[in-house]
Amino acid sequence: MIRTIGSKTIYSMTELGRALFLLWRIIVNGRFVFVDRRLYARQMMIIGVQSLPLVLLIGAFTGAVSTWQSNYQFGSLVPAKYIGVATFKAVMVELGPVLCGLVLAGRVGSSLAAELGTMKISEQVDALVVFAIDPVRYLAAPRFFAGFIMVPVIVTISVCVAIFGGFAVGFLFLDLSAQTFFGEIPVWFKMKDVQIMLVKSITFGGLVCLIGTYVGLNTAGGAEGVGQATIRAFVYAAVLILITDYLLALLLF
Amino acid sequence: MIELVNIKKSFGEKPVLRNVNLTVEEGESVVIIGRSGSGKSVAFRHILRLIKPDEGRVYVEGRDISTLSRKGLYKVLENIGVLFQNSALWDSMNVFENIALALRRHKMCGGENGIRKRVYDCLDMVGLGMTGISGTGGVEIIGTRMPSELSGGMRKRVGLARAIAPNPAYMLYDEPTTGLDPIMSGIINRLIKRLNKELNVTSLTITHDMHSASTIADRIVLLHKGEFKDLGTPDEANSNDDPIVRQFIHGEDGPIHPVLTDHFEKVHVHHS
Ligand SMILES: Nc1ncnc2c1ncn2[C@@H]1O[C@H](COP(=O)(O)OP(=O)(O)O)[C@@H](O)[C@H]1O
Ligand SMILES: [Mg+2]
Repeated sequence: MIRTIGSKTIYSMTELGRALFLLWRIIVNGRFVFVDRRLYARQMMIIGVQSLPLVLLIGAFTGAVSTWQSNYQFGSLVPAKYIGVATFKAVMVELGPVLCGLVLAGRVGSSLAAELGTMKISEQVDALVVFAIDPVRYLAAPRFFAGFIMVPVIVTISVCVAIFGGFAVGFLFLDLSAQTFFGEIPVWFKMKDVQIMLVKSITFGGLVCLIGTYVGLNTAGGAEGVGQATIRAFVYAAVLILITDYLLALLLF
Repeated sequence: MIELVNIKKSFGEKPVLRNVNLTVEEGESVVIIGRSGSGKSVAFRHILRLIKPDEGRVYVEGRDISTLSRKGLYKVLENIGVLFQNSALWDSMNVFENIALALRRHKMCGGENGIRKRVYDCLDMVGLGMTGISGTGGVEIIGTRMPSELSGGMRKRVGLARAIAPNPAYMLYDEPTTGLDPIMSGIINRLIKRLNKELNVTSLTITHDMHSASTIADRIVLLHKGEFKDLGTPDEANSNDDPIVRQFIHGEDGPIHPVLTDHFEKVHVHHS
């Protein structure tokens, strides 16, 4: 029992070390961003196209639900004009980044793991090495940085959509005018909230893409292995997002 | 020169290479034969440092590749062309891009026009350029096909074109004619031979095709029970009277059990 736990710990530690080493090599290879700009642009496109529809949907519903919830929880306690602010803050600092992060772990992280895993088991990654093309520079770095850049953009879009989703609910069901809903937002708006949103989404984006890339490039065991890799990429990323969200909450508030 | 010295490699409990020694001289063409699953491809992967040996050393041009930095390794690999057993074409790129990628990334052929010419020349060389024989309608059309649209034999030939495109000094061919019809096999065998004899490309070829082996080999080695056994020239190999060798080369009845793998391992039924 203790031995199992011990060997599991050692195993996770080595995995962590190897993932960090990959991260280091990705960062070093980031210096080729200009030379390889086509690869980067392509990955950014892919991530955007893959996730935008889903993220817009999530945004709209998160906003709608937040407004509905705020009204239900303290609609009778505070003036209606604060419902918009409550939605705005909840969505921006917490729900937007975390929900988007989780969804992107499923959409982007898993598909990275599946793509790279398939390349790995069919020796396409080895073929790159043999042609003296570094897979970290050619495959991993563009995917990682694309996520790093695109996820904050996507989260920002999602948060904007969420505000309007919230307003839609307020306007249609709670009889809130645009003036009531949006009026207090500039008053309570803090740059720090935006910073928190960005820090979170950059962190989650980096996590999702690093894990997807790492798991993908370390796939073994045929088609079944690829299946497991996609699941692992999602599970690891989701768990780590929740943990880092907590840690960031401790650090940032 | 490529040298494998006392290579030992096991996967888990299963020994695959027990003590492998091989020297391929500059300009030489060596053919490796051996049963499926005997570890021929594993031996290839050692030369490319895709696998590290449990024991032993690999030298390419006199340098121990285990001591090279990543950059140093890539420098060595730029000189080695590899045809993978399963072709390992990049799925997300069409045939043209597959062949052009390494040329582009290493800035060869003096620009895009030179690269285009080189890609089409290579497709021609592997018999994918001739309308009629390949049924593809010429190099331009085959160039736009995706790997998933090709037959196994065509993929193999694209893999070969990709491998020879950067003009490597060494070529490793893993079963170059498997899955090809006899006409195509002939074309590929002659191509391998021509690269070796005219361009002095040092080659190491894995094959099950004894006809192919006798065409291209200066020397044949047999991988059996985790060790290489030098059989000499194709003629010498043919007249070898060791029953194990005869069973391989002539398919005669012999001491090697047909179902169980040849090896020192327990019971391991072979599927491939
Ligand atoms: N990465 C690996 N992990 C575990 N076993 C492997 C691996 N690569 C090859 N093997 C095993 O090594 C043996 C030799 O494989 P291979 O070199 O592909 O044979 P072949 O001579 O047909 O090319 C096989 O039994 C195979 O299952
Ligand atoms: Mg093989």
